[in-house]
Amino acid sequence: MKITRLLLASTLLATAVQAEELSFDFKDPKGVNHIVFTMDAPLESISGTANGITGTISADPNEPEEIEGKIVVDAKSLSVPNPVMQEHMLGADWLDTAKHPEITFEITEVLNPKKQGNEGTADIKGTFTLKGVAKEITVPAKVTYLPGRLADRTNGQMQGDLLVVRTNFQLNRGDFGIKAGEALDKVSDTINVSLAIAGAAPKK
Amino acid sequence: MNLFRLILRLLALFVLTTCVAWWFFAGADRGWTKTYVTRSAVDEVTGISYDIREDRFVPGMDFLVAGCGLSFALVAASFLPLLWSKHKL
Repeated sequence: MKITRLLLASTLLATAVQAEELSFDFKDPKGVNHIVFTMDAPLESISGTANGITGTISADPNEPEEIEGKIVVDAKSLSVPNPVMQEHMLGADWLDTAKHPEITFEITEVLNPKKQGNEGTADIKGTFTLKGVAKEITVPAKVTYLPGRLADRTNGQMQGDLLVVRTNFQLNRGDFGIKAGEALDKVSDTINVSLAIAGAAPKK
Repeated sequence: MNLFRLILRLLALFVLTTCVAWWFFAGADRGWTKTYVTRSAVDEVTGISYDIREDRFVPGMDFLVAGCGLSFALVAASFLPLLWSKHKL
């Protein structure tokens, strides 16, 4: 009887440990985490990147629908290769980074989660805030859980897990008050966004 | 006065040839001028492909147009003394 109780207790304990929620920090000193954005323009497509990404996502690898968290992008880290365009983009007429220094996405709901091994896909619904305008959007995401791989990334200095999130989606700049209906002959209204970020959950 | 005109026109020629040669030998980029270029790399652990930034000046069509415009302005300026002398007469 004692043995049965002991076995039951250890099984419950193991389940509890397995179902532990992990907090992944997306601050990336390696500079790998990045966002690519492209917009159509007459001479050539405008393509830029942003790498000032921070934020945390809490997730239970066994329950993908339980993801929650917030990703923050430093608006001043948005960069295009042309210096004049860069100045205009960050200036008051376009992104106004002096007044709105952050671009954020806060997860509110995970829809249609599908899990296969350590990979999963889902439609992630959340509040996207750009230039002070918050809108509900749903983005398709691919999430990869890499247990125990943090050590490989830190040359063995830290033990823990990694969570890789990838997504591609489109936004209309007009929806966020960025020259709505203006300069459409110079820059398209549609912004294509591609995001690939990895978060780390060090073992305590 | 003729020397002034000659200097301006030689300067215009120098600006034009420098801009065209610079643009051409820097890759004849038909896009916008860039102050950095990127090359792709892949993070081995996460599989994320990302861009590594390299500071490099790549003149584009705007650079070429600005050079041609400056050259044209210098040639036009070389005719000003002639117009002034005619105006005085």
